[in-house]
Amino acid sequence: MRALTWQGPNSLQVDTVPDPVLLNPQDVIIKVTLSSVCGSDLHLLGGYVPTMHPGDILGHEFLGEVVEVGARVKTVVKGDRVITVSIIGCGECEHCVRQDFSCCDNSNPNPCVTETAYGQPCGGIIGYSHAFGGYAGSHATYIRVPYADTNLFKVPDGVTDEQAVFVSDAAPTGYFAADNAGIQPGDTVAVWGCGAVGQMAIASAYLLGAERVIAIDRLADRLALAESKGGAITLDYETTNIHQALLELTGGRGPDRCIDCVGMEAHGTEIDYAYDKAKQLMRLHTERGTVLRQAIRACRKGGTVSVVGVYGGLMDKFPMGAVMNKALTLRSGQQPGQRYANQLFTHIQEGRLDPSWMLTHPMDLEDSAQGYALFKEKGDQCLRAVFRP
Amino acid sequence: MERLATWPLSFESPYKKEALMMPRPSLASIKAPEGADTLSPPERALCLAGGSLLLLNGLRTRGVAGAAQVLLAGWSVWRGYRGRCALKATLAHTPMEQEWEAETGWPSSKVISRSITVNRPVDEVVAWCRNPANIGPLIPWVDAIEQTSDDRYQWTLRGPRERSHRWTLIQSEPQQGRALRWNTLGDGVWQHEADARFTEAPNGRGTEIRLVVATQPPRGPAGYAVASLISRFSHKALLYLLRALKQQIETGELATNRPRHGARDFLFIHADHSTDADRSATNEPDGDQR
Repeated sequence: MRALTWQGPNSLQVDTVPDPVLLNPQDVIIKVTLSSVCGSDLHLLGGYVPTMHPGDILGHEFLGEVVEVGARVKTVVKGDRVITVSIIGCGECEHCVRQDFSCCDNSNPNPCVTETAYGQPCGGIIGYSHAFGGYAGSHATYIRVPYADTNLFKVPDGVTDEQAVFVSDAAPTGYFAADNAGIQPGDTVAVWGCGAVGQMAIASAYLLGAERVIAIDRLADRLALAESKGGAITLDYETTNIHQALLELTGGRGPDRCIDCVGMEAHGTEIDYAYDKAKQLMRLHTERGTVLRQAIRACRKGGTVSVVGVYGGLMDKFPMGAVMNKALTLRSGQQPGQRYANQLFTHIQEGRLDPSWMLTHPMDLEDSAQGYALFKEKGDQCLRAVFRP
Repeated sequence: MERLATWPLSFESPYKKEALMMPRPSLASIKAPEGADTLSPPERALCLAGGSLLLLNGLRTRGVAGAAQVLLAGWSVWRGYRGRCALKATLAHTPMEQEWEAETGWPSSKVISRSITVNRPVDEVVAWCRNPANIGPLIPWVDAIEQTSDDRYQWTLRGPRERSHRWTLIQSEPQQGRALRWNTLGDGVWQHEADARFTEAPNGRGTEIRLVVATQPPRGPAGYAVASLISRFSHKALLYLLRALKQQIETGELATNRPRHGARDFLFIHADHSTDADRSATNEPDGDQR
C-alpha cells in the first residue's frame, strides 16, 4: 500500500509499504477514505516530540470503510463507514469505564516512555510517535485499529464524509475543550488559536451556552472564518494588546473561560516569545508558552483555563502565582472523543454543527508531503488539507 | 506466614474512626533505614587516619598515581570529617529487607515490589493468577511451565544466547483467595520467593495487586551489591509483567504494534525502537491481503 512516512524533522515522503494485518482479536483493518492533517502533527513533523523514527506513518484523523474484522469485534462489520477516535481506549480499564478514554491504562504498548516523562504511562494515540504506542498512522491506503468496539463509530445517515472525518479528532477536541472549561450560561469564552480545533471550540462553546466567544489568532483568513462561521469576536494578536482588549471586552473582569487551542509552538510578539523560541532552538526546553501564560493572566478570578493545545515536556516561566492567587482552575487533556462522537453526529444531523467547511484542501495521498508544507506554512488559506488515498 | 503484611507498628487514625489500628504498609521504596549512612567513631577515625597517610603518600609519589591517591585521600578525609557515607547507605539493607530477613531467617535478601490495580473483582483476579498457564505467556523469557506434582511446577526459562534453564517453583496460597506465593525449593544459592497479595481497591475500582519478589544473594555485601544491580532490571520486568497481566485480564489481549511471535525480548527490555519503528510503520509485512 502507499503511505506518507516521516523521514526526519520536516522531511516526509510517500512510500510503498506492506499492508497492515490483524494482530489482536479486537482489531479491524480500515480502508482509508479521507485522512486529515492536524496541527498536532506539526509538533511531530518538526521533531519536537521525541521517539519518532524514519518510516513512521503520520495521520490520526480519518474516515474509512471496514475491510477486515477481528474475531472478538462485535459492533462493526465489513463495509461499515466508520470514523476512529484518534486517542485509543481499551474500554475496560478504570479510566475507560469512567469515560476518560484518553487516560487508558492498556492501549499503549510502549508505556515506559511516557511513564518516565510524566510519572504515569499515557494511552496510545494513532500515528503519534512511539511514546504513544508506535501505532501506524492513517495517511495510508489501509490502517489497523485496535479495540475496535471502543474506538470505532459508524457514521450515521445524513452525515457526509467531509463532515464525519472531523468527528475523529478536531470536533471532539474542540468540544472537549469547551466541556472541560465548565461553561455556564452568560459566560464569555476566549479561544486562542483559530485552526480547526479552535474553530470547533468556538462552535462548541456556543453549543454549551456561552454568551459570546472571543477568538484570537494572527491569520486574517482564520479570524475571518471564526467570525463568519463561528460568530466570534476576533482579535489579531499582532496588532492588538490581547490582555487589554480582553479586559475592555469584559468590563475589566477578564474572560470567564479561556481555551488554549495552540499548544507548545505558540507564536507571539512579546519578549517571552523570543525567550521561549531561543531556548527551544537550543533544545533547552520544549514548550513555547506564550498562549498559556496569556490565557492564565487574562482569565477572570475564579475562572477556568482549558488546555487542548498539545504540550510535550517542560515549560519555563509558568505563572503558577497567577493560577494560585486568582483561584483559577486549570483543566486539560487529550480528547476522549468516544464520549462525544455520537453526540457530535447528532449535532451535525440536526444542523447545529457543520465541520465540513474546514476541509479547504482535498488532495491525493501522493501529494500529501506538499499538503503538509502548505498546512505548515499556512499557505493558500489552508485550514485543513485532507488526503484521499 | 503473613510475610510483610504490615509494618511492625500500627497506628490509629484520628480522622477515620471506623478503621482503627490501620496497618502501616511496608514499602520497598524506602531505601535505607535512618542513620544507615552514619559512620561509627572507629570508622571515622580510620577514614581520617588512612586518608591522611594516603594524602602524604600521594604528594610524595606525584604523577597520575599520586594524583589518584590524593583524590582518594580527599574523599576518605571528607568522609571521616562528615561522618556520613552514601556508599554505606547504598549497601545497607532496606527496612523492608530487614523485616523480610527477620521473618524468613534468610541471612541476606534483596526485595523489590510493584503494585497495579486491575479493574476486576478480587476472586476473579486471584482465580486467574492461580493458573500458571495464564502467567507463562505474559513473560517473554518463559518457554514452558509444566506441573510436576500438586504444588510444583517446572519453569523452563530462556536466558541470554538462547540457553535454557529449568527452575522448579512451589506454588502455594498462604491466605485463601487473598495471597499467592511462588518459591524455589530451598536449596542452592540465589533462592527466590514471590508473594502476591490481592485487596479490594477503594470505591469499587477493582483489585490492587501487590507483588513482592525477594532473592537471597550469597557472599555478603558483594552478593547484595550484585543483586541490587540486577534488581534495577527485574524491577522494570516486574512492572511490565503486572501491566501485561492487567491488560490480559481486563481486555483479553495484549496491546501491541507488532506480532506476538516477533523479536523476543529478554527481561522485557523493549527499548529497541528501531525494531518497533520498522514494524509499526508497516504494521508488519504479511503479503498482500486484499
